[in-house]
Amino acid sequence: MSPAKKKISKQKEDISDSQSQLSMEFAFSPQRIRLILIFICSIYCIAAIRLFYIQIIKGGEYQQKARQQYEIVVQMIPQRGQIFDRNGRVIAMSVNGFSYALDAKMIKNKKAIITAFNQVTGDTTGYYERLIMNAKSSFTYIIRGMTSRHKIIDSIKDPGFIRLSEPKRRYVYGSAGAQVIGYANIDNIGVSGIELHLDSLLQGKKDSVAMKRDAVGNLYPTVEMSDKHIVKGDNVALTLDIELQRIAEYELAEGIMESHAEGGTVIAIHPATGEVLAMASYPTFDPNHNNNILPEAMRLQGITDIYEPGSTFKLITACALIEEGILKPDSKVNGMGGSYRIGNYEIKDSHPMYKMSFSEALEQSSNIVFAKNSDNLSSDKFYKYARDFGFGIFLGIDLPGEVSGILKKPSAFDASTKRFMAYGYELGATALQVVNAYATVANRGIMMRPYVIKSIIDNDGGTIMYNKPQRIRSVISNKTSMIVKDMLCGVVDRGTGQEAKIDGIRIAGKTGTAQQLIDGKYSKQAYTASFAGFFPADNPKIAMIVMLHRPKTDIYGGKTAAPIFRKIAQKWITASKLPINENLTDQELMQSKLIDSALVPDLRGISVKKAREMVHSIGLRLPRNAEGIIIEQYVPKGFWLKKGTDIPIKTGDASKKKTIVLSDNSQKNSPSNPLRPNVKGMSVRRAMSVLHAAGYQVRVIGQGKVIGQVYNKAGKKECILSCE
Amino acid sequence: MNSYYEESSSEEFAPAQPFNANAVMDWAVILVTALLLSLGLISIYSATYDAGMSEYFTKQAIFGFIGIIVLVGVMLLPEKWLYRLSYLFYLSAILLLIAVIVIGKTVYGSKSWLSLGPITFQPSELGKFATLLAVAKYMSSKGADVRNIRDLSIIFLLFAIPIALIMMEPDFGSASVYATMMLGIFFWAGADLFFLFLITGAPFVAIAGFIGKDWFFGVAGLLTAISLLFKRGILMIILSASVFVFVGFSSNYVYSVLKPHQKSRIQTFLNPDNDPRGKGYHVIQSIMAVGSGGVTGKGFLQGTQTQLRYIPKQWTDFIFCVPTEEFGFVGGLSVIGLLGLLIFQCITIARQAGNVFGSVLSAGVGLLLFYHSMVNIGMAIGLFPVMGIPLPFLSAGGSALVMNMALVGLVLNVYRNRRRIKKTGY
Repeated sequence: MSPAKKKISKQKEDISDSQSQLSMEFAFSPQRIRLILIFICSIYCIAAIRLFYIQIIKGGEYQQKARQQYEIVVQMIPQRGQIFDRNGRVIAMSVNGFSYALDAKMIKNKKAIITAFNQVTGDTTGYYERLIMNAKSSFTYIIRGMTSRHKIIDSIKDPGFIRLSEPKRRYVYGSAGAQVIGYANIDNIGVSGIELHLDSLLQGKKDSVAMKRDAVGNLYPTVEMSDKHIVKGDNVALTLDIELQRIAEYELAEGIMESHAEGGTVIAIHPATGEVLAMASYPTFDPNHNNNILPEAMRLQGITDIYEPGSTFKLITACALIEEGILKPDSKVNGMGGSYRIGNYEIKDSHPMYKMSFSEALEQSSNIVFAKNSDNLSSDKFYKYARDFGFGIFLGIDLPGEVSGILKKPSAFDASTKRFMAYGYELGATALQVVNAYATVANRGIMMRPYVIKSIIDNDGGTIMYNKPQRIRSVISNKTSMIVKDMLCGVVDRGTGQEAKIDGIRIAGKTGTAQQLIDGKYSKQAYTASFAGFFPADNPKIAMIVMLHRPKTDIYGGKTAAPIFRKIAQKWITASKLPINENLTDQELMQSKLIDSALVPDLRGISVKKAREMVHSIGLRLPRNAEGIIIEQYVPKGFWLKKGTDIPIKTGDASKKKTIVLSDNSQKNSPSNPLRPNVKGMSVRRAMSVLHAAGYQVRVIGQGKVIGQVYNKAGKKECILSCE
Repeated sequence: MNSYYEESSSEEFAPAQPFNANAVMDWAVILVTALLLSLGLISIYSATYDAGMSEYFTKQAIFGFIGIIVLVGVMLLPEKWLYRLSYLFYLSAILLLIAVIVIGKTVYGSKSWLSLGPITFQPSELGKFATLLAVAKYMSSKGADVRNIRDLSIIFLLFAIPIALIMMEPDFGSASVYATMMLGIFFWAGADLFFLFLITGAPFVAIAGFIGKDWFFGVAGLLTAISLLFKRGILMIILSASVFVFVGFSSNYVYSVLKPHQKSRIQTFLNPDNDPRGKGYHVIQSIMAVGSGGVTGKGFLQGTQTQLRYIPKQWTDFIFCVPTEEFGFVGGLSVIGLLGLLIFQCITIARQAGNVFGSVLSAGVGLLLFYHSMVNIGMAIGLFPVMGIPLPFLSAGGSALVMNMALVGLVLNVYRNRRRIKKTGY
């Protein structure tokens, strides 16, 4: 046999064995085949029926269940509006803050996290150890609102470690204007000052959007999101001049240190308009570190605290006497040698005088002259002047907490009331009321309503609200105001206010030294020392009061408050290069040199590297860890930012996918807004750079500047630009 | 000759054709396999899309390619080679199964992976192929008959050795595959129905025993009642009843011996809602994904549950959720339909096979695919407990994919050889 044949026969043998099986009665029977097929079919039918049941009959239900699981409604906290000073310098802005939390149920290596945070914060008190070891809930904050990222924290890899991005409020000038501006907490809620007063405007329009949440807790934007508008907060421009504010605060604090006073206030007003240029209170606080602020530090003493003004109130008496024609500056008055007894009271002067002119009486602040001459004014008349000058009524400043003070009605006057009131006792006034009275005189007798909110600007640069200077009333004639102004200049030139004198500029002002009423008695230790005035006298730009609460080294306003007034005025004149020749317009005042601020350029669409060079050359900075392309800048171009400050930006990188990491109870938390940059007004190239960096495909219609943009609503990352 | 051969007798005398692709290859099997392979790749792509796991897709594609080569290779192998090498295959598979227990890699609590140089694979997968060959060979040996207690025992032993070894890994899922294959082949080969009924009924009684006494008595009673229908006399009925009672009582003992993760799997199957974040999480998430797919699904890469990764390790055991969520009922039915068609073809080829060897092989492959798909799909839609059994051709996994392709190759081999054998007249 050939090998091939052998093979076949072998095969024959192998297979013939099996062939024999086939003849068996039951084996491989068609019945069994049928049974097996029926079995398989029926199992598959059951699977198909089950599939039909859960997909088609219960499909809607499961769709809803699934949606409940993956859809998460997130409160989008919009970017809080900025607060600017009168010259467009940014005082308060929102920057990206970094918050960290932990999920106690998922956490693996607590020790590593404790070590990391101790290292980053330099904490040695065991605060983080206690916090982290005791955490039990699925969400516990470790730290909120850190302004920069740290490598040590970035390198933590733990399933229970949660990273959040929360907007954080930054106050560029620290404590400057702290009481006026107030502060907003980490939850973007205004707590005091303007932040509280205009909270709803600054906050912007909160909106909850549905986001997709994956099994690990990452969030992804959904299609519906494009229809939602999270409106950034409006911006507020104040009348404050942050430079003057800082000068005032610095000098007030210095003066207080020197005189060992317990507190103090400085208010500066622009007499022609009533704009508040500075409003300082001591003690104060830094709104960037808003834990454990003393209540008195938060109070805006200038409008919330009343005091007996003392001699500064003689201005009102003098105005009344002159306006009524009872006295003239050169009218002879008698100082009674410094002591004058009426009934049970003895009125004393610190500078005993006999015969003098009315001007001299004001210069030397003779209580006796004012008390005696008040007898020539009827109670009603006197009340009318005090009232017209704004005492005992709300001035209507646009800040929360203003009080009206106390002014007795003529019917409540007793025999001595008028005499005491004539030199500033038996009435309660706020510092604002006093300075506003001086501003009235400076403004030719016309009282303006004081205000601090200059305008509210929306995010497209449109003005929503503009506070116009508001005339309250004409209190005294122009002529009287001129006469009184000259008398006040005399106080500084020759009288008690000489400490306020500055060469080459005429300053009008009046000192005040008032005993404080403690337990129903006028104290010999507790005084209020003040100096109120305005300058330059011939064209007043600033009316200002400096008030010290209980100075110790020297009780006299002329010795303690007046120097502060002078130093502030001097510095401000230098800083603003206010020419001593006095024909200065408002416009020039506005354009006064901004010493340590720089104009913010448009950075959108530029790489961080390039932008960094650009802003460094003008003295500004960019956040340390930023890289990529700048998509958004939170301080828009055209505003002033203090030198050395980071310009808050949002960056993107077209090569990276963006997700917002959130924790389980993200309802409470605030991811930053989804990236949908507004590129209107940019050049096409810039706009494309921004959108590419944010991960969008761009289609362009037309050429030139972008005048409209539409985001793809089907969820595709695409943006259509229409151009001029 | 039985009726089957009478029916198909017309085919036997069909004129020989010089070459006919249809005669050599079952195009339906090829097409269905290709479709399933593509569906699997699409599903794995979607399940790992943009999650930093794209290597699963690449790997699966590479293994799919290797699988095609293996398929063609096995298909073209002369049948007698297969026949002769069967025991050798079996022996090497057993050795590998022993090796895996000694030097295997532990993954998810089971020592089921073996590393040979750069290749890592599951010997239990290879074992399926080898055991099937060995059993087929034994059954086709002269005079072998499953109704004969000696032959039955030997076949039983051929299955029992790998089952025991796999149980030692332990991998009960894979062991159950062998057990089912054994039952199916017994049935196919004509084993006594009453005997099969007994060994099939026992697991049901055992499950009932896990649930509670009432269930146990109910199921045991019902099965005893059914055993009456076999009309095997009082002795047999008493035997069956006592088997059920014994199994039922011992199930409690077995339960106490089980490993915690196995216990929790049983508990999860019985009560998936009890522990929604834990063991039941898989089942709840899986049903939710499937259910939310609706009629036509959410679209490719649009399945929220899949894309948001709610189903852990979805690319392996829970791959069925992907086509059902993204392509809906249509997608789910397609998978079931394609698998059903493939299995139907296997059975048909088993019928057409000219000898016991080919017939058992083909039927075995059909059973294997049937069991895998049934358990896996059942698990995904809440009909079966969670067992680590992948969905053939769809689940990511190299060993399983290559093995499945080899099995299809085997069926095609049987198909290719069916006529030639018949014509030779053996």
